[in-house]
Amino acid sequence: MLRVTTAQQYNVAIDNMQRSNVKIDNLSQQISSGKRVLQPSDDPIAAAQIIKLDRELAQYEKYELNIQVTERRLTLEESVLGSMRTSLNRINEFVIQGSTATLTDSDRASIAVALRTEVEYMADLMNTQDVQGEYIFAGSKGGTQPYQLQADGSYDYQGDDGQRSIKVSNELYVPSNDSGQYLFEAVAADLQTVVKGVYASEDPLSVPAPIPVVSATSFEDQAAQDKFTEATRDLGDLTITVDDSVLPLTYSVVDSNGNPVEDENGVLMTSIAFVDGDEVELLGMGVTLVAPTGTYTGNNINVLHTQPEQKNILDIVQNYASALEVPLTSQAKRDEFEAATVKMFGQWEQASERNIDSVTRLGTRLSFLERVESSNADFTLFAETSLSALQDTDMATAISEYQLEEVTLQASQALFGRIAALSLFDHI
Amino acid sequence: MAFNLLNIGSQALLANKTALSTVGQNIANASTEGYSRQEANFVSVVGRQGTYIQDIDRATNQFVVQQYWSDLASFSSLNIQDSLISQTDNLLATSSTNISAALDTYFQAMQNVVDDPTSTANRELFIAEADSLTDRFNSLYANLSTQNDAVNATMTVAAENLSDYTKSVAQLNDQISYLKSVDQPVNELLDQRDVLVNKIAEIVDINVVEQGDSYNIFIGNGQPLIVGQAVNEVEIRQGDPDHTQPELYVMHSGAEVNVTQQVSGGVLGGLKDFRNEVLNPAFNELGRIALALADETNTQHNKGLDLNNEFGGDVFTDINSDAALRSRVSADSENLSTINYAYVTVDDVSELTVNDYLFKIANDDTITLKRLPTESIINLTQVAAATDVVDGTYYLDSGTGVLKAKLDGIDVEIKGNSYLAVGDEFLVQPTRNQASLIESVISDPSQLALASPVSVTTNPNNNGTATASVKVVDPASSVFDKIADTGQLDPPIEIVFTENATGGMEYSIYDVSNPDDPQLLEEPAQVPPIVPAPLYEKEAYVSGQEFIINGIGITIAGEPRVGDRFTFEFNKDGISDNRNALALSEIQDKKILSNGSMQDHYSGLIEKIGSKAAAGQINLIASESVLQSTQSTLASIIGVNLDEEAARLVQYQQAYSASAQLITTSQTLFDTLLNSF
Repeated sequence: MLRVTTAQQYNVAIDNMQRSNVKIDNLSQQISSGKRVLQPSDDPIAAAQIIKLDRELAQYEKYELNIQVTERRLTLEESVLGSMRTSLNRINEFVIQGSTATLTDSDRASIAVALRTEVEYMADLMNTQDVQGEYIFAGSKGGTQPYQLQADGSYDYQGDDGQRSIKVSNELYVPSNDSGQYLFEAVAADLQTVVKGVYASEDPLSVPAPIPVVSATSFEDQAAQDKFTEATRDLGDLTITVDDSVLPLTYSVVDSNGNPVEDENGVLMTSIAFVDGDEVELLGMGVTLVAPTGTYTGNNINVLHTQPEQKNILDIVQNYASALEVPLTSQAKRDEFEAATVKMFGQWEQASERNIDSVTRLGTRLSFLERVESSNADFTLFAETSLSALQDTDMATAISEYQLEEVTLQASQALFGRIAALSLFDHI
Repeated sequence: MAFNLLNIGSQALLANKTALSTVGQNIANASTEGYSRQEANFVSVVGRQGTYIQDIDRATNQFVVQQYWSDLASFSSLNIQDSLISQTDNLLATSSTNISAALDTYFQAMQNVVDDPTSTANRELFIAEADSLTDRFNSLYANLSTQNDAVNATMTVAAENLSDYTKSVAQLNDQISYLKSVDQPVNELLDQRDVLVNKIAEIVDINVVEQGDSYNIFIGNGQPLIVGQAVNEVEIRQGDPDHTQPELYVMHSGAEVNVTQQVSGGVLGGLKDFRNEVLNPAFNELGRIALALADETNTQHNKGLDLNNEFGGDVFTDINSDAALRSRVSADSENLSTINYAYVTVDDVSELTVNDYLFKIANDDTITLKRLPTESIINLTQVAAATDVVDGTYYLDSGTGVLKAKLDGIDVEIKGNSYLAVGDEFLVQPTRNQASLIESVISDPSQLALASPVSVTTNPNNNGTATASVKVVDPASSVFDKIADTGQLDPPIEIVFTENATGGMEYSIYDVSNPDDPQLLEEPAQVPPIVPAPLYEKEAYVSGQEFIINGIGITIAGEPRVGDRFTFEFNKDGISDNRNALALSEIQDKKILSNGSMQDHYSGLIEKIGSKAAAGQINLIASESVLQSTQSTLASIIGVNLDEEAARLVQYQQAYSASAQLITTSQTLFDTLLNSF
């Protein structure tokens, strides 16, 4: 038979009431704060998950911020490009107007003034700074004004083609700027050739002075340039080698892969007789041959690096303005002016196309950002829902538990009163 | 006949009075802790000679009492652990002290500089956040240390109490056997002794063996605390070599036995488990995260370029500073050798564990190495020369006092003043204090290195779709030697694409120091040197493959065409460049530790401690109900029920009255007899 001792009766009753009190206190805190997990120790497992979700939310908050910053920058860029568009259109009008045959010299001169004003305006746009004073079109060199007027009146790009990537979602990066290199240095002007080779690094004062085996490279006209560009597509730089081991001298031309280059008739250009001072045509490029001098190893080899000169819209407009300012006193000058106009239209076209391309690219990027933003918002919502499920109080359950506990406590108290009143001593 | 009646009456009177006094004692002690109810044992005397109280029984059951002690020990162990683990868990997980939240804030500030590297305000904010991040590490470390101090203080008090209680139990052993020998009552003393043993069981799990009238008490693996009247002192001593971890010693027949790791149950066992399983791993994990943060951030920051066109310095204190190297190793004070220097370098944070290591010099010029706290043995291969030490090996020359070892991303180097003696111990704790050592050392916003020192220029006439990216592999490379003088790499390089006979793309790398005379770049010098040095000429192109040129890692991906070229130059004045900032911010998600990113590890720690806390709570509830059930079984045997005593009171009172009536009757009889004369 189990004996129940008096001390135990009291202890058990006190324990029970104590436990109920603790539970009631806990539940009332949960209800009033709306949080189920008040302290991590309340539900250690949920607490760990809450931290992970908090971290995820912090990350999305960061992405949201990044998207906003990027959008701000890109919108600024977009609006500058829009103003550039307007300017470009005005320039086009001026060019059309200026090329009209009936204009007098002074009419053309005033159009030139209008063009130069437009150039200044555009230069100002291309030197746009953000609120921090950073030049937004300077690539990575944000502290350097990208378009500075040079002594010769041209504008040289001082920036680079650096792009800033911003993380907008897990594993997703979006460039938050475009460099002037891409946006404005868009006009491929005349082909230019740089002759590279050992002569450039030798002492020019030595006798005989080292010289390149070709000199005075030139293109007669646009057709010659097109011919050269077409013929050397995918060949890279051409290398011209003079064989000076046996006389008479001969020369060969190879492409950057080391293969002999074919001339326009499909004949390989190998071991061609080399006549000092001769002017020959190389796939449209006119070069003057110069016999190698000196005794340096490799001074009979030169690399011809040919590429179109990249010009910006400012320079080409300025050039055309200069052409407009020339009085058309002779047929030759008239022809020259005509050629300049044709070229101007071509170059304007290129600049205009790049402008349109850039605006399109920006638009795509901005709409991409919007999509990322909305999918980030979905993820955020998902995380918040999970978080709420983990840490928020389920009010219905909590309140009904609270009431149950209240009833239990009242019962315990009532019972305690009864038990305490039970004593044999009262009856003897 | 009548005299006999008188005799019986007076005996019964005495016996019932004694019985009434036991009832009185029971009623008086109804609430006394540990009181065992007593019962008078009536014995009738042969030949109708009356009754007497043979002895007063003490209700008890030694088996249940033993069970109660054991339950008490496990309950009190779980109870103290539960309250401590909750504290630690709250400390680690609450958002105001949490490292993960602090890392979020820090990386958010870094994101601002990524978004806008030119803004001085953003740079200032980042520096302030770096500062507050290290403060968070330091203060969390300090909070854990406070907990450790509290654990140590509780341990000390518990050990002192244990000492006092054992002495009292021994004294009671002595008194009880004496009183028993002179046939004096000892019931109350037995109760008191059991209560003392209860208190001991709350401190530590014990094994009680009853021998005659004495309790012999043993702890741990059978280390005797009390044998009869002999007491073995228990003492808490400063830990050695780790001073922050006091240890428990039992003085036993002249020897001192360290029983810290052997005790279980009770407050002491609970504290030991908490220290081993929660607090120390938390310290170590926190230290490991601090090391990873400082190391990765500094390494990456050193590769960047600041606003003054200089390479970045450290953002946080160098993890291998002189003070840090020394802080990770301590020598046992009982070592025979003296130490010239002892360093532990962290080579590779990704391999770091949260273990501590105990090196012990063994016989034959070898070492034994234990991983703490598991005490498992690590076998390292011994090598013949100090210079041969690679990962997983060690070198020992105890004669000249040199010990070198490499394992788990650390590099241990101990140099004795003259020799290292057999039995010398060295405790290596690579991560323990590191969270207290991390500080932010950058203060000038312009020195924040957010740009990459190398700029890539894609030739605008490229026809292909290939894109190039760079990262600095070695900021100390000679390629950067002249940046201050010439503002250019030494040499700047250009990569040009060509095609081989089968149409495969190839690239050649040129030194373009003189842009008009590009030279093919020489490959790095080999040992032995190859003459002439091979050149980077017509190398096969693999999209996306990184190749390292002069300490710069270059990756070109996409489809290049013949003649396409990329130029790599010094990124002078590239203040808008955020490439290094981006790399710095990627540290947040980078798996730089063995099991993932810093925050993965931190939440892993919280999860581990959290699940320990959750399991602890469940065990505590279970253990509590077991204890309660044993307690009520015990109470049902030894406890006092007042109703029962009331009934007994009535019973003995009536018997007493009846006995008195016997005497009256006897007197009446005698009077009758006398009066009849």
